[in-house]
Amino acid sequence: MDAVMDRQTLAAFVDGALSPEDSAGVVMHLADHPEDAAHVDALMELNALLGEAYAAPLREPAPERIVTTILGPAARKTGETAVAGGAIRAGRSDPRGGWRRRLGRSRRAAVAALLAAAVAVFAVVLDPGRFGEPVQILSAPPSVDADLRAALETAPSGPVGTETPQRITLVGTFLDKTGQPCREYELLDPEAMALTQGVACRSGDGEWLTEVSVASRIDPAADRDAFVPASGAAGDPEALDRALDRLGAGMTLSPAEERTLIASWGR
Amino acid sequence: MRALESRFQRDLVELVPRLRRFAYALCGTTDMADDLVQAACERALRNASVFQPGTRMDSWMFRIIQNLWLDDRRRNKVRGHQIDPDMMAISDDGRGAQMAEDRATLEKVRARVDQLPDDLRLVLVLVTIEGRSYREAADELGIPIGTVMSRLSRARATLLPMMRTPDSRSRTWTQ
Repeated sequence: MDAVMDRQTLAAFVDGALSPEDSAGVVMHLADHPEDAAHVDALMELNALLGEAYAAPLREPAPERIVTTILGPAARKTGETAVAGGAIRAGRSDPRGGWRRRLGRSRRAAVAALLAAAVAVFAVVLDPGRFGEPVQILSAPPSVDADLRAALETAPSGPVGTETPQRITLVGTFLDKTGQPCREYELLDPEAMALTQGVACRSGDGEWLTEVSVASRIDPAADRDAFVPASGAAGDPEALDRALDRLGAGMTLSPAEERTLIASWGR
Repeated sequence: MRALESRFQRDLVELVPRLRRFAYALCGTTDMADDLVQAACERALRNASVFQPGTRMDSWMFRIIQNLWLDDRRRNKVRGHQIDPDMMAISDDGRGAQMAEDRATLEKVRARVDQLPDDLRLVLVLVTIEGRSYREAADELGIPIGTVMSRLSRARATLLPMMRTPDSRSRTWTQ
């Protein structure tokens, strides 16, 4: 078993600076190296904190004095329109922007890289109605398997140490618009080179149900030209975004909030 | 020409929230950040004719902000704000005040970033807050990519001990 991975490689992984192949290698390394996984987790948490520490300006309209500087006093009226436009856009994109930010852009980038390397999509996308219509599961049981259920119920966000061939990573926890707790997860099956990304939500009686699940096969040998753009057919990665939108996913919970929530389920 | 000019101005207004975030991370206070953004916009408008439409306005503006900031730092060698020692010792065993705890954590992050040497801080902000790739950060700062990585890891080495609170220790997932 190879030893601890060097810190700059781990940082590059977190910053999304590795090739898809190298990222996949790090993901697999982390599952067997808790100390490196802890370091990656700390880096991701730090990135998320840094993003949040300076996020205030993105939620505010541009200050009038700056807009006036740019557009000139004569253009004030237009200026106001422009500012309002900017603010509305920022506001609208904020829940998703926030969600992404808290998830860690890095991890997203790594996953995007993995997805980019996917050539064959073999599983069904479970995407309950696009317009928030009654949930219609296309195939596969909506309830999650025992390992995933145990992880969802008890583990903090981060890679989950399990004995099973599937490597579980909990990406983040959030409350949907009805206040129901939901968690985004990834299942990596290194043998099958399969990656499943999904969101499951916990009902009042403690049942975990899959809201969306997108599976793709990773082919590290895939040639660059064969990469499928994120918006293309590669397992319809947008299904995940649509599901997050439909659920009204806000900011992910902080580690402390998440801990409190998980503790409350144990009671 | 007129249309081009107003397009330039519109694009600039659109960028303001991101410029303010960048400046905020560099200056540590929103007031100073707004002064900096305003000065940068003034400079950009004076030099609008040298801006090449079709190139990245954000990179261009970030470079103006970063140069103004560095100039200013060189002029007054005084540090932005001092860390309040009490702030660093905040304990949070009460779970009831999570919002306050979160605010305090973010305040601590900003205080630590404020203490970083300018060159480390600039790289950290470009990569972790602005999402620049290592290559882009290297190009924008005119330094080799290896220097970006080593500055980044020095900056993080300063900030990471902050994460080793009882909070994060309890986050180990391999029990």
